[in-house]
Amino acid sequence: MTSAFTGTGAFTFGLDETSIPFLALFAVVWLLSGLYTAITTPAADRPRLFAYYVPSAVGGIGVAAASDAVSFYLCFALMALPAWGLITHTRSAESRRAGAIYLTLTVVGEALLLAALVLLVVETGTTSLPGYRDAIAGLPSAALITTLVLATIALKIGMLPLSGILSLTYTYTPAGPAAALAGASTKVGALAMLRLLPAGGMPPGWADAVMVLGLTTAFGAAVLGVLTDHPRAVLGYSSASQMGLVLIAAGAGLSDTDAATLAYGAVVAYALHHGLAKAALVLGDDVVQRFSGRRARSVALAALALPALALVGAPLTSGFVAKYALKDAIHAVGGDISAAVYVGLSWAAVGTAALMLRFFALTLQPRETTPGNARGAALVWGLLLMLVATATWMWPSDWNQHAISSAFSLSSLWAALWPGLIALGVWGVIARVVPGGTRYRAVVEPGDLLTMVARGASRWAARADRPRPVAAGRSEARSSSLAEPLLGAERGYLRWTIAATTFVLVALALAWLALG
Amino acid sequence: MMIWLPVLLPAIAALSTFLLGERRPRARNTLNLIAAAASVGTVAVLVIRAYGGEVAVGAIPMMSDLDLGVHSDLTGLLFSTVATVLWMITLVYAIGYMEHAADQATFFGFFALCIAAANGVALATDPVSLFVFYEILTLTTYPLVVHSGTPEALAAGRKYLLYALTGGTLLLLGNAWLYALAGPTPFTPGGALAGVETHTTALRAIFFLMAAGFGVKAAIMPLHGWLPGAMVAPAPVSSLLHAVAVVKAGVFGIIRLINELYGPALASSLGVAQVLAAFAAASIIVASVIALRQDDLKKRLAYSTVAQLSYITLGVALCSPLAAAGALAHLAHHAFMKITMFFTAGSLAETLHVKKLSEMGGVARRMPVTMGSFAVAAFALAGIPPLAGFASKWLLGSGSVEAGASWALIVYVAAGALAMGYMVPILLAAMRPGDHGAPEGVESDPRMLWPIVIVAAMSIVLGLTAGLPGSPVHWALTAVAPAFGGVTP
Repeated sequence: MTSAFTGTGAFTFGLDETSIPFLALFAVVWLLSGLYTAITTPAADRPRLFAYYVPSAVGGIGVAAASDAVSFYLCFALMALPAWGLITHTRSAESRRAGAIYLTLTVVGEALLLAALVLLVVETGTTSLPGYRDAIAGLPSAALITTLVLATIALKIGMLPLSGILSLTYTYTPAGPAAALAGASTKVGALAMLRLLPAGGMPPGWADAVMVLGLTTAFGAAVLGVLTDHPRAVLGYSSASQMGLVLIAAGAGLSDTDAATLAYGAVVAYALHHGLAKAALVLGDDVVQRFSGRRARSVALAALALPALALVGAPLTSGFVAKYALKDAIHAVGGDISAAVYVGLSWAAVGTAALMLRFFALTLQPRETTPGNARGAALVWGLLLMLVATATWMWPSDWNQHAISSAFSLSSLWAALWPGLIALGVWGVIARVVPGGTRYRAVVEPGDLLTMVARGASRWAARADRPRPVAAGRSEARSSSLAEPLLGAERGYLRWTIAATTFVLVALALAWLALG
Repeated sequence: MMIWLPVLLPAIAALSTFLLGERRPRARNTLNLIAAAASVGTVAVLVIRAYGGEVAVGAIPMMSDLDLGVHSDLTGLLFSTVATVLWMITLVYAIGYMEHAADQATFFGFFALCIAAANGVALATDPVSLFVFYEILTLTTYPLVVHSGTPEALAAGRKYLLYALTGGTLLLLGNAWLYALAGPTPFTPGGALAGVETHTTALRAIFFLMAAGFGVKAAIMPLHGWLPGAMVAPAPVSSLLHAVAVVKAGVFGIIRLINELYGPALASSLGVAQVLAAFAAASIIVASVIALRQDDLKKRLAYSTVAQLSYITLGVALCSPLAAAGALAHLAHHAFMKITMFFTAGSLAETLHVKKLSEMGGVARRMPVTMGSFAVAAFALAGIPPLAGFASKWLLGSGSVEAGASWALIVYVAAGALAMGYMVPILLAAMRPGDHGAPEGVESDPRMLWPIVIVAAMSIVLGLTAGLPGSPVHWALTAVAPAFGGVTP
């Protein structure tokens, strides 16, 4: 085995089949979100916000064009790490906690990705990124690499039980940067699926397992999402749910080479569709708050329906295209599990529809927003909406052909509509039965499990760090953190006599070994 | 003769410093700086010649067939280059830092002697010569640890001496036994023990004696006990000796032990390298976790050093060309990254009297350039590309896979995540609001500021140029190749 590592001087960027759609998506999303951020951020806050936004955008766009392992890792980190500054921009206690959770998961994700990349580079003997997906299944560490990549992706896309991460990042980040994170950040996970997951060749169990994980996430995140009460938290869970669908697509391609081609198209379709639509939803939520006049507000709300319907997969929307591509991919896998996932897919759309209804109910409530140019904001948003409406239909490729040819067939229209109708029916019942109607109070807070763990940990640490008499020469406060057994042992060990005795004993043992 | 200059020049500087005493500090400083510059120049010439295949050898007879010998091979020169270059930079910092301190002659004199000893360790031709310089290094470091004369410093000094001298004794024992077994064994890439491989029990025992001896300075847990306490020494000492010269002498000894005394093949087949690897891996994780909870800045950095030193030990113990090269490259990279941080800690303590994370609020606004440099080094240490730490971590990780030890790869990436975990809180603490009296943006004395900026810049430069000839990565790949049959990985 040889390594092609020739130092980090070899940063290579280039365009290929995978990088082009993602580059287009990331450039548009980071640019429009940046414009929106510039328009809606008070001048005094702009330098502090853009100090984090710009590096994040550079990484976020570069990651699509990266064509070697090191550049990919660099851009992946460059996008993800500064995003911490976007999440904690308001400096509230909640945003700081969200930032800490985000940073922790991001660092773990980076480590997993690095391990996968090192394995790939050494075992394939090349740092060239585009060839990995075809090579992985044949490598000695195929299973380990795939597991590491899946774990990296899980952290990025908010796979259960980590779905809370997206709701945390969306909720506390200002609207403009939040749209960038919603539109581009999770799609880096989709990009990683295409770059680093095997294109066929894995044992069939892999495809089944990953598809089931995806479907579980699609459902689970939807359930958590309808139980929250901040519009952007709902959108965050919706993203996790949608990325669950993308994970299904990626899973479909793991074992079967034919399905891999279709799965590839489905991931690209979903990335374009969901990236644009979710960014439009995040910005739209903010635009609506900026219009107080009744007519303007109604127009904005009507326009907001476009990306919402797209997410549900309503006819003639981008979601319709994406869903078709996904169904084709799952269909190509064959077997009982994929058949079950195929059926589950339509029901996942019910969950998405419920999320969108909940989102609208919450967006209708007026709330405070930053001052700024409402017209300028609406203009940027309008540009994005135009792309939402057209991009997936116009994109030159194979994956949208099936949807285009069946766009007006009755059966496909019905298939696209019924999940929404069911959700509407349930919604009508909720509006009458549940206290508070469709704006019932939250059962889940943004970040669910993650927030609970983080709060528990900080409470624990706070109790542990309460000042207690600290012996001289002891630098750290006594604590009952997870590291405490280690710290205790270390403190004891460092006490002069114990350490000296141990050491002399070790020396004597070695000497005895030597002379004996 | 020239081969002796890296040892002699600092020794001469030390002698003159002692003779001058506290009189004429300006002359003393100038003389030290000139000696440092001359050492750097000498080493540079030796490096250029060694790259061309010309290895200089010098030997002074000690007794019968034992010489005190030095030679200019690429492996030793890498350590020597790092030590002398950083000696020069640290001198500038120390002159600013120690300006109003007492006993400066003692300080600068022993400081130069340490460098002479470190260069001796780097260039020694055989385990016995290495042992001689290693012991000199122990003794010359002691006065620096106890320099402040406080009870705390004296206790730390006693502890250091006990550890280091016991370690030295083990090393001597190992050397004596090896001599009895095999006669003189000059370092030979790939192993110097041809003909005695069959004495497996003795060889295993000798290996552990020597590894324990080196392990004290390399701070392999549980032999690290002296290091956190030794942080009471003045900042330049912590910076150069406890991040570079002394601790690196330990890991460097381990590199020689495995690559050029036993040879990777023998060390691996005896099973001793694997034992050492296990200790190193445990040290990486345990020290990193302990570092997470340190409030004292220098102690946090000290535990980080314990972890990072074991990156090197683990790398060389994996017995694969890439991992060994990564280990040697990390020896250089870590020196530049960690010295940046200890310089910063010294500036904070000296200029703002800040020694703990909990007191660091407002520091980033008060000293943006200093803390910016610290941030660069911190991210480099955590292995963020394209900084220096990434290049060596990448090599170490690749070497783990090459050696068929994926577990070591996981240890390295986990350690990288933990490094973010103990470095980021320092940056966050510095960014918290807080007041330090003086106007914002006023940094410390320029003699302390510029060295920080330069060594931090090196973390960027060494990472970006990792693929070019002369960079530590390229250098290390070339230097370790002969130990693995001469094939450049």
